[in-house]
Amino acid sequence: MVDELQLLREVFKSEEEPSAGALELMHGRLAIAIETEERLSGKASHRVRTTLGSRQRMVSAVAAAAALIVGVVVSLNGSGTQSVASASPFRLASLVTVQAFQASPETVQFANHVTCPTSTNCYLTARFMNAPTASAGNNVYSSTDGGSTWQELALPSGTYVETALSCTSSVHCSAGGSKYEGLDANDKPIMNPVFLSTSNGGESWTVQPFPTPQLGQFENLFSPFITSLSCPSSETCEALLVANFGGPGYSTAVDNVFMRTDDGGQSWSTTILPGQPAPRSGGGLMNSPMNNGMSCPSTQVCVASALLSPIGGATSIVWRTDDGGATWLVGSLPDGLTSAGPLSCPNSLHCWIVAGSYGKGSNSQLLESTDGGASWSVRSPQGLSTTINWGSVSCPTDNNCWLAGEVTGANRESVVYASNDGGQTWTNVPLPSTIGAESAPLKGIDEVDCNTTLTCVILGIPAGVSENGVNEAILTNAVPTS
Amino acid sequence: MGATGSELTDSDDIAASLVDPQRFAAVVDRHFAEIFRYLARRVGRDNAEDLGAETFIVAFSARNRYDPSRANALPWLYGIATNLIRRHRRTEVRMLMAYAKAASQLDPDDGSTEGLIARLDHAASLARVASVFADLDPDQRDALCLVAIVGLGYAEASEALDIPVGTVHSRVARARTNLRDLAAYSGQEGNEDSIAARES
Repeated sequence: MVDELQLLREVFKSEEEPSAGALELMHGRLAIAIETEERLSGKASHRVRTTLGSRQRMVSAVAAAAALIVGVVVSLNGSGTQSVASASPFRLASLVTVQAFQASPETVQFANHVTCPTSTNCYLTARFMNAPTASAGNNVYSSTDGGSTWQELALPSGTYVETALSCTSSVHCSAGGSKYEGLDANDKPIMNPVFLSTSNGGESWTVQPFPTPQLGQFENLFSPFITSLSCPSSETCEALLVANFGGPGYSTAVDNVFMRTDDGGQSWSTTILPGQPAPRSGGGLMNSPMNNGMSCPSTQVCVASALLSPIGGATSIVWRTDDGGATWLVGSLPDGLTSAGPLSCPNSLHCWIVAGSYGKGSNSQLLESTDGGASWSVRSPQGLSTTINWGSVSCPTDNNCWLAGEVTGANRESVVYASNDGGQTWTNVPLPSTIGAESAPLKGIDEVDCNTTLTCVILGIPAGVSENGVNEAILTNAVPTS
Repeated sequence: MGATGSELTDSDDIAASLVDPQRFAAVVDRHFAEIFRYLARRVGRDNAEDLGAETFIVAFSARNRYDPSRANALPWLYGIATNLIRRHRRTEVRMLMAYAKAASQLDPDDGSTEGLIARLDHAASLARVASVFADLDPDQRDALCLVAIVGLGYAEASEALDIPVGTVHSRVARARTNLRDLAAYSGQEGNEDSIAARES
């Protein structure tokens, strides 16, 4: 009599060995994960911190590596040299938008987030090579010429910012960051979350502690990390953050949390966004939100997205609030799209988001919502290639939108497309091909940020490996001031 | 190409990787092939390459929560891989059905006539076990696979699946009973019909 387990072992007897390519791909993915972690971590290396751009770069690099290994040949779209003059008729404002992008001469180690409250005033969280401040984290820089040249702003001693920065005017900015508070009993630095604000263009900053509220038995937030900050006024700020939570006997989880202040950061309300896996007993791995982002077109309306990756499956979720963050609705994505974000909402009803299928390594779809993020539809507009992995979208007005991404396939090439008719038609925007010390084109774009004056700044990564640690470039389309 | 520091344990490398992330590569070198083999058995070679890589990326991103008292990370990695397989349940069931069908259609002229009946009986038994295993509750399938196929101990399977040891015991026992009873039952019913019904 043959035992059923013997039979089962025979069913599973084959022993497949991984190919050399599989191990190579594995190490490639690990290297990207390490690079992403190191690039973003600064001091406290194990707090969850990702940016849209870096996540996108990781996914893109993996896709490119996979394409190389399996020998997939993907034809490139156009070549990025499409004539702007041949595009659909531009309105007067659009003549400004197609002003060629120029690279800033600054040497930048890394740049995380840029925002331009006016046509000439921009603020940036980054670390420059020649930074006088010996900070392991990001500094804040300002520009008065639309992003061509930058000056470091002195932050209060012991503080540094991360990715969250929002500027209401040419002189008022708020930021999420951390403050060094000495060493603990194990000689590890104590970094407490803080909220910084300036009303004089960064000459001086107010630093306030950022709360870690106790929301319930298993919802004691700790290590909050603001990933997206939107401040429509000097008093009101809306923040999307990832924070750990958990409780005795329960595993530590990481969740997307929304917080809001209406008194300039003195007090905050907190909402854990709905639809995320709850903590469970017995330890184990929990969801780790990645790739999250938020767009708040008004003081009451915000639309947020995040990629949740609990063990067993990853999927994106999109939320919307129209009561200032008190209650949130989970939006519905089209079937088959499990990865969504970044997003941009020019007004309370109109939003754009890039999407794809998690694991496919490509956010090649463009989705539009006309009900403020409750429902989304795939758009296939004229002029837009479907072989581009979109990494950033910025729509400052209902008509004007920019999309940045990389052509998928082995030969990565960064592209930017612009629309001035509400996303119906898109035009390839030329980018400089010789950037930085390596005189190379961009191989990746972390962020494109455009404001209502149609000034756009791009944070991107030039191709080639710089020996001196310069790995980010800043491009702007601002008209040079004479 | 081998693991760095043959005397070091996974726990040492994971702890060191919190300061120097490159040290995690040693854990990859040590266990990638084994995790790949496990995945290939369950979801096929094509899926195994991608899921294998994803297993270690998930592990890397969660390494600060690894229990340093556990020198061997393999059960932990099996647990991550098993969870990732849950996205490919249908692939796994299709593979088992294909195996069962192939076994049940073994050519009787293949090889000598000596022991032909025994071979056919054995092939039919394999087909039944494969198709019944595909029908098991996924939790039972995971537990049985880790204990009976991979060869983890009950304590290691408990660690991998993040469930108490007693639950591993009961799931394996239930899976074995179901496998035995259902295989015997489907043998009486006619295996080819049941395979065709599940594939439709």
